[in-house]
Amino acid sequence: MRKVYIVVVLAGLALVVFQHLSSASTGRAVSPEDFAGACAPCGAPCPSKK
Amino acid sequence: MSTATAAVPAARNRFVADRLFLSLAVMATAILLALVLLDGQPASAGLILGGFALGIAFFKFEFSYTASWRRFLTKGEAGGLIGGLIAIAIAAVAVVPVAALFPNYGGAIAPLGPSLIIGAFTFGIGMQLAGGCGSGTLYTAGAGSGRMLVALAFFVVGSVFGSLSLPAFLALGGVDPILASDYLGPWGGLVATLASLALAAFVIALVAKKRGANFKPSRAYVAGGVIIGLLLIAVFAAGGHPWSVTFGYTVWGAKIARTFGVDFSNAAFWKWPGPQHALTDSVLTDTSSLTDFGMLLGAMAAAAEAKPFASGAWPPAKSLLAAVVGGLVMGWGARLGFGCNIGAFVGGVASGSLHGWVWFGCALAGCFIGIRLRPLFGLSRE
Amino acid sequence: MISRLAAFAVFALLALGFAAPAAANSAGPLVSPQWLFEHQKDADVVVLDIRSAIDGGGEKAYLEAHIPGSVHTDYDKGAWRVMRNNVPFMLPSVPELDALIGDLGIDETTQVVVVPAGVSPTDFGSAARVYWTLKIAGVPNVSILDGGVAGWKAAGLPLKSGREEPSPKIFNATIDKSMLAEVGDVEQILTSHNATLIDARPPAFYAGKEKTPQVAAYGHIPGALDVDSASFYDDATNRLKSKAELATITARIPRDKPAVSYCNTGHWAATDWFVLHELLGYKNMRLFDGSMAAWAADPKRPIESTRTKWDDLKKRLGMGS
Repeated sequence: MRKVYIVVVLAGLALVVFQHLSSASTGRAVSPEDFAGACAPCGAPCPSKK
Repeated sequence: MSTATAAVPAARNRFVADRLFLSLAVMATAILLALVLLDGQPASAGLILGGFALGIAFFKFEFSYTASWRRFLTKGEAGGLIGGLIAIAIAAVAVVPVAALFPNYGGAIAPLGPSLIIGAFTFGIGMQLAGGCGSGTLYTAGAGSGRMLVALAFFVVGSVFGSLSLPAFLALGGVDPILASDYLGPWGGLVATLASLALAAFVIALVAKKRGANFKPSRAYVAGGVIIGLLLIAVFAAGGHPWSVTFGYTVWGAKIARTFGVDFSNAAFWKWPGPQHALTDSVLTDTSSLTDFGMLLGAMAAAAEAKPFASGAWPPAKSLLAAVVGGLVMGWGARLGFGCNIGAFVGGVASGSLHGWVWFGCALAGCFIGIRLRPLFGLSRE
Repeated sequence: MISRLAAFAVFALLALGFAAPAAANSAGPLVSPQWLFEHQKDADVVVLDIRSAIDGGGEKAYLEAHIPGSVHTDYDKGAWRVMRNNVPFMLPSVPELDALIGDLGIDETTQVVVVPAGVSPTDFGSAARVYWTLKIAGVPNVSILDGGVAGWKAAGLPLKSGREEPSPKIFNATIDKSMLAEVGDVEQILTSHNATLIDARPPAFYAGKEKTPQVAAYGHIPGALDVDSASFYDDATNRLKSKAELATITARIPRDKPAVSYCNTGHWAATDWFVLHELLGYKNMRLFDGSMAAWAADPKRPIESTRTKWDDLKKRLGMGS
């Protein structure tokens, strides 16, 4: 099990670092709620908007 | 034990720390912190550190929502359940008024309808099969449980399916979020929220008493509740919204699926601005992912400091199957229910949103079913 | 009878053919050192030596050696571009243009010859920008000396030292808006897609790997084509490439659509404007003089780039730009 964890942690870290550095240069950390008009943490629209 | 071991001085047998995993956890955290700080995002560093501290706290206090809810349902033992409410109450003191008064801060809100109910109920089933919920899966997986690592992996998979299902379930209808501060103002809303927590604790204690069980939270649950409550405030301050766990999983799953060619361009969920940005931007710009990573690594560090890391054996296949099914079901249910025990229940109630209590009730009902399904996988009902 | 009529018709057409250009800008947008040598003493000709710090020359180089009859105006320091609304290097206002142009002895009847140093494509851009400024202000007959001072010298033609002063005239500038694009125009293009945006900067700026201090963000205006102004220039001869080559380079720019060129501050973009509008006959072509400096000033305006966080990291560690 230790070996699994070492592989998972190192691979996961490498993946996170790689995708971070190849991502577009942008501004601050955002959450879906930053985008106005959302009715839930994931950014779902409100029922009343239908 | 061989005689050779018996001859070794006692000091050498004392466990110091699992240096390999302790350094791994610290190094990985340092790398993530460096990346976000070099990116000019100190708040992101705050979220990683907040998550790290939460990982330590959950591990040290064994702060399990899943086990405590199971104990309440099977035996009426309410100490852990009420201890969990302490954290919410402390967080509410900051979240309710600040979210109402400051434009850059928001609470966790969600519409009330079939999606919430079905999602929360399904999540409840899953959390008892997996043996951990949103926070539970994260800190136990981080602390070296291979079984929970499997649950986490399938939680991620289930989340992607949940993202594809959510719009259809939302279309079934519902009512706009009901937020206490909208009706009672920032301070009236806080009073109402704290009152609802007190009422819940009272009712739960009553049930416990009727069943002849204890309802006083243990020292660990009180201390844990307080510390975790304060950390919730810190995470809220850094991220601008209450602690969210499962949105991160959804993003990881979708990003991985995308690299294997899955096309999300026609999925409604992934066209909403929040998810759309999260999918294309770095995972280190997603608040939920930042606390998730922090928590995994904090739990790892705490576990490595306490005992040899991941030294247990793999559980039997049936148990692993429960982890797989539980993870999948939780992932799907969390998207429909607008979060897990942390995002929807703790976050929702701490924000003064009615959906938090609805989530709790439905999830508890789901737990009841999930507990009954545990023996099918060779798991005990207790 | 018919053949005499035909001969007369041909003669009349030929006469018209020769007469017509004389009424327009008879010198053309580009003139050779030979042409200038022959016409430098014409009464309506004003030769502007625009050398500045940009070409490493400036007034000092002018005083040491200049084309006889030319007057000096510093492209960089001489008020050809001004700060307006916190955006640098913009087209001056009408009163400023009245003074700038009139003081150089130029009015609507003048045949102006703009003389750059002739050392680089950026230096040519100075001439293109001065050319554009004169044209937009209402001076119809403007030409650039192909090859600049260096080309004149290479042709073995004589130079003079010292200063020559212009004879100021009264000039009333009028802005020809059909040659100018503003932020609002570009915003409209982004929604209607009814014009081609041309980014005149080298690929590194377009992609967002490099940036000048005056511009707040990396990248280009969404949908713009990258048409590097340096690609029009032949570094070996320090002249623009032949018309045929220019046409090939610009073949991908649709002729039937209006176009707007921009760069960082409207300097390189002037070369693109000059080549497309003056040499290749693109009718509806404007210069966005605010360029990226104006566009990127508002963080809400969209910008596209392929810049990654790795690029940001390299910059932070001093390994990149």
